Amino acid sequence: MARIVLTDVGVVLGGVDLSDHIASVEISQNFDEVETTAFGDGGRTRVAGLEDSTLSLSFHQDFDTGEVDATIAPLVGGTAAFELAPFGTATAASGTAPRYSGTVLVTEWTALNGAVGELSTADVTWPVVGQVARGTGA
Amino acid sequence: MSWRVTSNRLAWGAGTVLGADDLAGCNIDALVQGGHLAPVKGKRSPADQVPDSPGRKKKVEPEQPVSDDEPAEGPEEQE
Repeated sequence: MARIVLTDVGVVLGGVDLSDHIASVEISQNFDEVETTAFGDGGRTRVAGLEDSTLSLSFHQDFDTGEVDATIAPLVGGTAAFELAPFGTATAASGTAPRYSGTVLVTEWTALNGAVGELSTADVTWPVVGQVARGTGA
Repeated sequence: MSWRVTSNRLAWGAGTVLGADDLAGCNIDALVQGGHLAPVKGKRSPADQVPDSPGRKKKVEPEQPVSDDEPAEGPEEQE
């Protein structure tokens, strides 16, 4: 399988495609670790518990109408659907081009961040509500 | 109720008019606040769009406000 250099990841939040204002994305799927060790086991045994995933994004801030701040600010404190397309939203989901989707709780928003001479960015990590789905178009 | 797409960041092109069914699952208020959608007022009937059509009442011009310097409806002086 070919290695991937990310150049055109599609990121849709709340139905809004903000890909051209996002420089970094990370979907981290985690599960609670539930121990099931019992008498007679030679070592600890475990099963996966509840999923506890997060979505991290790095935005380039933009205060224009319909851009980053105008889109995210109304979502703070609520939930928003997300969709991540590793090869861009124009590429249909398939077994080799999966799409990850779900719902996040928009728990934080740093509207203004940066030092003199720097690009204003907003880095966030939002918890996923429920589970992350991996779509392959099948 | 319907909404017109006003940005180029949605799955629909700018200018597309969407209904509530099209936006099922979306946070419409957030999209309106974000400048991506604008509410569309109710459609006007074709008759309303024809100016001065027969049987249609003409628009009544508002009366000019009465100035304090002139008597409003006083009897005219007879010579």
